[in-house]
Amino acid sequence: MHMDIVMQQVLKMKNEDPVRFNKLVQEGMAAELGYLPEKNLREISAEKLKKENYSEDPEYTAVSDAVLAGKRKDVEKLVNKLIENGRDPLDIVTEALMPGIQVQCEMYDLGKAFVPEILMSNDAMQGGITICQSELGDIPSKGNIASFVAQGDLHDIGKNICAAILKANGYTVTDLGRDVSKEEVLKTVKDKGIQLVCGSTLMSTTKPGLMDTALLLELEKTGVSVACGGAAVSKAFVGTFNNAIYTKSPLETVHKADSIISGNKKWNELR
Amino acid sequence: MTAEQAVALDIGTSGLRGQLVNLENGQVIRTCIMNRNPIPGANIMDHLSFALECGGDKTRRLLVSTVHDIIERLKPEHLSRIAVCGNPIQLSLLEGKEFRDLAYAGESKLKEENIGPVDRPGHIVSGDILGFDSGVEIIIPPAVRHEIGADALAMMIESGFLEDDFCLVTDYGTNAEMALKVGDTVYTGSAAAGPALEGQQIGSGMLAGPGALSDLCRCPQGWRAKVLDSRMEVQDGPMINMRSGMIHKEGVVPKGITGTGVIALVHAGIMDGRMSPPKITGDSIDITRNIRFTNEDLAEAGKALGAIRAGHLTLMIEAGVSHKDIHTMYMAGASGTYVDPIKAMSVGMVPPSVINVVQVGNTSLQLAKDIAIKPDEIDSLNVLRKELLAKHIMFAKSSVFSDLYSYELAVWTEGMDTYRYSRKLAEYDQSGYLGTPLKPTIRKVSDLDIIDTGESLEMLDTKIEIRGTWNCSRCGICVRLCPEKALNMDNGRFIVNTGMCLGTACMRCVENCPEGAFALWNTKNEFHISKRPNETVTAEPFPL
Repeated sequence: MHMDIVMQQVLKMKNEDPVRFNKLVQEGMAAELGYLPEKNLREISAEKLKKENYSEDPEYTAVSDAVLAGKRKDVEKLVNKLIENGRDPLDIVTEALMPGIQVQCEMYDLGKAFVPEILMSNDAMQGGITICQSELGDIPSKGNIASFVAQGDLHDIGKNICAAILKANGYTVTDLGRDVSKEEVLKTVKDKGIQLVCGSTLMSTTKPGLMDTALLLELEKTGVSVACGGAAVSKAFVGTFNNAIYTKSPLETVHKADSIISGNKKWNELR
Repeated sequence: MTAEQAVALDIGTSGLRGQLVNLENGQVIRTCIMNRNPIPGANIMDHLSFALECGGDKTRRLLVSTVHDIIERLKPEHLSRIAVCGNPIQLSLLEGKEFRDLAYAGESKLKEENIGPVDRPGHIVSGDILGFDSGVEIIIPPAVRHEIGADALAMMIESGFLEDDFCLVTDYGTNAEMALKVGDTVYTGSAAAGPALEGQQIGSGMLAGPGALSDLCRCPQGWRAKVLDSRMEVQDGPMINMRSGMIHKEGVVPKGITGTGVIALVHAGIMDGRMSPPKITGDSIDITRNIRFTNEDLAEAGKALGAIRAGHLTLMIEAGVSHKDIHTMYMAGASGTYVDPIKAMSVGMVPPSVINVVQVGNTSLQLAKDIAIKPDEIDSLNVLRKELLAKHIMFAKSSVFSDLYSYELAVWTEGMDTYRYSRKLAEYDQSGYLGTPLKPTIRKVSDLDIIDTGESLEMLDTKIEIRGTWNCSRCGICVRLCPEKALNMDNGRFIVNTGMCLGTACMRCVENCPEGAFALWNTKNEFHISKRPNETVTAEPFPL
């Protein structure tokens, strides 16, 4: 085709369809600069993150890959085999199971992985951890966190995501489930040496449950605060009572948990 | 002597509808619509929160005075009966009966509060419970179980769904009640879709009214906006080119976007590649200087559409049928009547393999009218309630729903590829659900959601106000920060228009008060309900 005709068509497209025109120009420039089109980004970041996080032992990376792919049965099979071969269960957790979910969480932060995948990877990892736990007893962790959905509410998608991401970041999470009373939370806090409680609720009718839990934990002088989240909960609502902080996303929960458990911060320093 | 008259009422989460009916010939005399529900809050859980915090009695007074408002405007001459239909929450609040069993989903809370199961049969009570003459009968239809209320029953009876098989019915309202019929078994559910599909909680959203952008039509230069004029007739509006982002100012200038407008925008945006959830290229579609559809609006709409699609899929999976077996979809409610079914299918509101779509209008008001004319029907409804083999799937408890909804959220708000969702659906034997929909035949029972409006249709804005006063500096921050402009100050007294108020989900008035003095919602505070003088808009019957 003659160059003039090509240019004419390009100009026509620029006038008629500037959105598409700009997109094409940007994609073209990106290709010139050595960036590959977006489609491959997921694979590239996955490879890069795997290199950073995975162990060098191929038997461990196989487990990590199975966690990343969210295949619980595969993970259980592989972990059982490793234990039969005399590998250290603690090593399996830190070198094989954790890196898999770590990669998934970092991909999620980059917008390359999504909530359903985190949940599946978490499920797969839990399968492995349960096996290791039965061999080893308790596994050392960054801290003890309890998670629950306020009494009266059953919506637990958000709580499950949050618990999965906390586990992926090295915390031991005691998941109390949904429709949990404040007394039940208090009992767990006292019995299990919990350092932070994460509560959520979707229904606006049940949000007083979070407040009551935070106040009961304060009244009983447990020294444990409640990180609150969920669709019905706002920063301003959490600001109306003591002994609680608001966390908007699972990632923020991890950061605040780090500050409270490792950084020895109090709830009022984090509001 | 004039013939006896009855009033049929539909109490919805986002508005009330009333009709005056001549009992001699069953004709509708006139219709009146209240644009908002008077209880603060945009959804039913927020309504319940208000009732829990401020007391059922106060909440009831709000509803009762709104009902009086509507009936006053209907000008009945010889009122002998009032039939009320709606979801069990609104009906229980109106009657002043137990509602707390509906406020909590978890058993442990119900046990702690000593709330047992509540039976809600259909019944007839004397008018004095709502402040009418004791000679007036008030007819309340039954709820099948507490989650399947009279409104869901109305949707199943009035649409023809119960006579059909392998069909779905959905009331596209705030609570999106839905039912699937396979053989003799009816599977029901309610996906709290939120009010986005009614034009609320959308930045430039509005309810259907003059100036509302209600649809988009494909034409060679792009999409022609359809806007309602002052007579509620559809007129041509601006021309929107999704690809170039160019808008030609033409025709009627839109003032806001209705629910059906939202669906049309999402459909058009995705068709033309302008939107790929969660992002709109250029971050928003600017329709006029003040009206735009933003990324946040797309996310809100996406959550609502996702809840409906996940709900439909959950019913089919629980019933063990493939979506390919479902032939007919009955679309109820105002949004279900006015939406273009083709667009609704393309955004996932209707399963893709449906070949018949029937738009049935507001079934709740139809049932109220039927029992207003024949109150004995209440007995057969009570029989049906016992016989109906309904299997209710509480979506909050369903692992299938929570699995699918997490995919919906990922698709609509995080930008996950739909092919990953399809792969998941294939595991549930629902492959092809996200594919290109079939072209169904469409039958509209009536052009309007209210099939017969009688000689006039009146639209009222809610005028119910709560007044209160307390010690503070009257700095006015609360009034300025009210996002709905529901709060005002008059002579040192605070006045809130409860129908406009967003209730517990907002609370900016309380939270931003520098003195911590804002006490309108304080339970101890005296509650003054008053009404502003009514200025009403009389409108022609309108297609949205």
